[in-house]
Amino acid sequence: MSDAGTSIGGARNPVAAGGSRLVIDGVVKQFGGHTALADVSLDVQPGEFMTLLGPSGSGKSTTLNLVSGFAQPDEGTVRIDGVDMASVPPRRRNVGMVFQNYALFPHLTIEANIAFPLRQRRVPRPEQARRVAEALGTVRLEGYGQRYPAQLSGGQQQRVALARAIVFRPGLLLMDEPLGALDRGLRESMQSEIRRIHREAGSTVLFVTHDQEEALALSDRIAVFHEGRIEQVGTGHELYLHPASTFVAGFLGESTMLPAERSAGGAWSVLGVRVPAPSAVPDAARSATVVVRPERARLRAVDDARQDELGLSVQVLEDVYLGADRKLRVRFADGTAGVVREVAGSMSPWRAGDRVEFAWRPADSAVLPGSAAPAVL
Amino acid sequence: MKGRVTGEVTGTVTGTVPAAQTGGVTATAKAKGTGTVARHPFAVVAAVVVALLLVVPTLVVVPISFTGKASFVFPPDSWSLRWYGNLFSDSRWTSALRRSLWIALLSSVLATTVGTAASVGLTRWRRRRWAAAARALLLVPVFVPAIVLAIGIYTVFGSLGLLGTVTGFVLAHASLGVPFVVISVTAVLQSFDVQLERAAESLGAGRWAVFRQITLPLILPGVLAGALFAFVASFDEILVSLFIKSPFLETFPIRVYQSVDNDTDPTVAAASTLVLVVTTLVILVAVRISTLRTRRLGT
Ligand SMILES: Nc1ncnc2c1ncn2[C@@H]1O[C@H](COP(=O)(O)OP(=O)(O)OP(=O)(O)O)[C@@H](O)[C@H]1O
Ligand SMILES: [Mg+2]
Repeated sequence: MSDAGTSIGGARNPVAAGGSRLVIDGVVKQFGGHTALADVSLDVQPGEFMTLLGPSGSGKSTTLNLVSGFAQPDEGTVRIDGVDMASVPPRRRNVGMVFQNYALFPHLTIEANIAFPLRQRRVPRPEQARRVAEALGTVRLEGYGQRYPAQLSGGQQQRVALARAIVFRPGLLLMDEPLGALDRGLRESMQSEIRRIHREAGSTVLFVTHDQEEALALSDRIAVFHEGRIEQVGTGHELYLHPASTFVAGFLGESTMLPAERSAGGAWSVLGVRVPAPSAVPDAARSATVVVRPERARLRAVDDARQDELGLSVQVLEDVYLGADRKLRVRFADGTAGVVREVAGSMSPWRAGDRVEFAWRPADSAVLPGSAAPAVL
Repeated sequence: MKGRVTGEVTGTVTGTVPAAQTGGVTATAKAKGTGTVARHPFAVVAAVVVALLLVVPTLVVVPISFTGKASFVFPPDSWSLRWYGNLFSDSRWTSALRRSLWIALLSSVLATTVGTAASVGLTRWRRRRWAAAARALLLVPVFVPAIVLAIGIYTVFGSLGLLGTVTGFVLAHASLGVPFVVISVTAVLQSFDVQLERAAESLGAGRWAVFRQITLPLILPGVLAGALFAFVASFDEILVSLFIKSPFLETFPIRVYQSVDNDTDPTVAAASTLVLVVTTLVILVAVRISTLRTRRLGT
């Protein structure tokens, strides 16, 4: 009895491996005349969970392929633990990869699928069996070893793919939209599985998704891709609170983006209301964008102005009650769309059709150079 | 007789491969009927008529092989197995049969190896247009009139000293078998997920390991079906064989052909029936294998 207790307490981490450091430096990749990646650099720390987030076609998979070795950069380098990967074929990179469609070998049992990388490395049979069993335990699929992939559900296949990618203890794990094909409930439970496995395995993870919630839920840091470039790298918190561009602000979470202009006299205004001069904007700039997150704004009566707030008149277009919170969509005088979120306990009485003021504290907003593509209703 | 035998060879070319893909129908015309022209009544009638036209003359040989008399009268009025007895006791027939089976086996192995390697290689070729051209080149034996091929092979083999040798037969027949392998393997490769090879490679497998452990097992049904078609293509080949044979090296179909001229008893009908049975059985197995594949991969 006491034996069992100590062995559980002292259980060696089944898939422990030090994470690798990945450095992508000035990478350019073109397909024909089309630039898929234009100067991408990224430094991923050992053990870090880094997510590549961006819209379709922004170059996320291309970046992953350069790391896995299935494509070669036209310029720049990919280094894993300091070693330039230029002349290292995929099979020698020791990088685990989870494909979007799982890519399980249909003619092999689950056990044989997971043992595949060990077999290639000529790991002795008993050791193979032991590690396969451990990996099956890690993804909670004990007892499924003798089945074939076609006999498993989508979520189970996903776990097998994960087990197969970690069983050889790669220092770097690549996942290209691994949860893309799963339904919502399953996605969320797989997200926590992935978090747990990452914690246990300790390997560096490069994870691709175009789902911002998934990125926020999983990542240590997020790299936001846009048209073959990285717009910003940072923690979810940093990206949400301090977006570096209107693209990042628009892509990560909801926000209201208001056009700011500078008059000849040097004073800044938003839709005719004077605002403090933004610090993050070049002196010569004539226009900028004010970004207000929905939970940082409030709707107030026209005569309810407060000293520390800026206010603009809006019309409420829609109010959507969501249980724990409520979302109100509004329209500014020039047609710009805005959004406000109110949490339970402090909900305002406004309804669709009301004319009110959209108010925020300048300190709670971000001012970004350039003008956003206006969201007009 | 010559016309009939070659007719059967080309019949195999156009008929059995599509049949293998549409799944389970062996009669040439029927396979075409179900494959392309849905179930229009007229199409069905046409298919049956064509099938009868193709099959009936072939089947006349079967009853004659069981006749009790030493004549080709159809229908026979008495029955016996004596022509089969003759066939299997006459060493001219048995040695030709053994030789034909041996040549068919060797040329099938060769055609399958070359054809599979080429098909797999061609799907990896980045330049699609060149790959298509190369694939068409491998199919040439199907399109070029057999007589042209025969004369070409005769000329080349003559200068290489391959006429009348087993090697010559194997090479010639293998080149005729390659198209079947290419067609059949290319068909399975169409539904093969190349992502699996990338996965295998990323998991540490070298090129050969990827082929041996992933690609080959998954395309095996197509490879085996192709091998069987190539076997048949050799086993019932007559035209090219007539050009490259020697009096000392004859295949079974050549023996049949010559027996029609020289012998006057129905042993030749028994021999033809044997060819028919072997060919049909092998093709049935090939078709069965192709349908097994679809079930296992659940597509
Ligand atoms: N093999 C290729 N040949 C030509 N163009 C390509 C190739 N691979 C990618 N591209 C192009 O490069 C760009 C980036 O593609 P990539 O697959 O990296 O996008 P992504 O961010 O992964 O998008 P998604 O979310 O849709 O998967 C796209 O415009 C795409 O069309
Ligand atoms: Mg992609």
